[in-house]
Amino acid sequence: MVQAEITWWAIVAVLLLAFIFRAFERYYTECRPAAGDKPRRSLFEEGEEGQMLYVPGDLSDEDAELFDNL
Amino acid sequence: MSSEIFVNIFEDGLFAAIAAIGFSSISNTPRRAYAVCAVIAAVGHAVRYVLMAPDIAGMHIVMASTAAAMAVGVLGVLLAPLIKCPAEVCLFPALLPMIPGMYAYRTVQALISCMLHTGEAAFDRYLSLFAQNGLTCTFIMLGMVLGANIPVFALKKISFQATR
Amino acid sequence: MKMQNSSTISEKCAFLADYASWLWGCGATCARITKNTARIARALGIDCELTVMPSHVELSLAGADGADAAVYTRRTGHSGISFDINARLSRLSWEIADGLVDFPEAVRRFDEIKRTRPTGQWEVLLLVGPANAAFCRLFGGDWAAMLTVLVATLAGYPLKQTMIADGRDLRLTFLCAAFFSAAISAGAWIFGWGDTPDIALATSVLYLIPGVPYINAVSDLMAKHYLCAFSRFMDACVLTACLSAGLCAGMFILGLEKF
Repeated sequence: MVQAEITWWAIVAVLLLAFIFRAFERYYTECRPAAGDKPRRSLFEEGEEGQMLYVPGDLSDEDAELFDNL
Repeated sequence: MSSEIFVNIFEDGLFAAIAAIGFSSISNTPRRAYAVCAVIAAVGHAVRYVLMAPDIAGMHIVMASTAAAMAVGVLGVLLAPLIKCPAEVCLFPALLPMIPGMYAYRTVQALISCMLHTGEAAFDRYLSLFAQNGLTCTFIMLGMVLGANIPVFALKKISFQATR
Repeated sequence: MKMQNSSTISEKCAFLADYASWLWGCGATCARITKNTARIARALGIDCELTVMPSHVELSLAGADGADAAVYTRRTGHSGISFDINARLSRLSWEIADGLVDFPEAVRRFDEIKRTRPTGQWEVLLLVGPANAAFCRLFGGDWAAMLTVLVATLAGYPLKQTMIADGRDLRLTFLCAAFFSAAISAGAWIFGWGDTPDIALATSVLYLIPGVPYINAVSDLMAKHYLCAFSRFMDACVLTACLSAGLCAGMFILGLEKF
């Protein structure tokens, strides 16, 4: 049961730290004009399938948009 | 005894109303529809409570949900023109407190448990839970939406022109 | 004259296709999409057929009165369910059908509707917490369980809002939000809060259940739009599976096996 309590507090701490980290990140990117000029880069980024598996002739999402409005 | 039942019914309706307002705000329901959704949800949930109460009707949850959804449908169709919204704007949020959410995720939990337990007895038990929860969830959903839509189609003239 | 008629018809068809795409994106049933679009098409004097697919809508123009046959395809937006936009678009269709607005005014109103702001994040948070706590009560939870669920929802829902605002995958969002909500509500078991900790745990993730997609799926089934019904049902099932996985992960990590 003690282990469960420690794990519970650890989970709560992770969530609180995530919110605090997010608040700081928003402050530094949105509230400070100089920092806001730089492109925002996250610590974790999700890759796209196209970046891993590229076949010549593949359309990117932006190019595919051109073919949508007929 | 009877006053206790009335208190329980009132409490059931009240908490269903609070739940409906909250869940409808997630779906960006117009503010003018909150009160109507709350009233309809309260009536619907209270009807289901009464129909399922062992002292009163003792119905199965599927039949009770269908009947309650019909009540929700009728009220939704009648009240929607007052707030100039389509009937489903009042109906769908009011149905949300009756959505069998616990059956839905218990179905998935039972499926995961089937994979984690290799012994035949345990596997059979979780497979039975999977089927039981899955079928109950499916039939409640079918019954609810069917029940809610019957008044919409039966009272076509009112429901399809609610925003006119 | 023929070109002017064609361009006007082309603009009207483009408007119809955009309208149908927005209705789909805001979570309207297929019956409503086809009815509203047909109503507007009749009012604008356009003979067309609308095909509603899971990710696209296609408006096929028959090609009469000097206009070329054409197909207008729009990708359906995944802007999130909005009954507000649904109601406004439905009202617009009646205004066009009743001749209360002409086409340029209809386009202007449609652009205005597209800019409808969603319900404020703080307002939703303040409403959904008590809603989930009320849900806990409906399942027989005591006041301690309700308070636990309230806190768990107020912790999980901002996480969901933040991850969605960051453009994270919706499935990952549901998994994470369910994990943290379940883990926090498991505190009722671990620390012995109240007499119904199992109900607190079971109801802590119910705010994530995609109720409206399930309802829409059955509505589409009844209207014989089986493809869209199946698509919506699968979307809802996948999200339910993700939140179940988050719940199970939370319980597993905390050493609880309350199935």
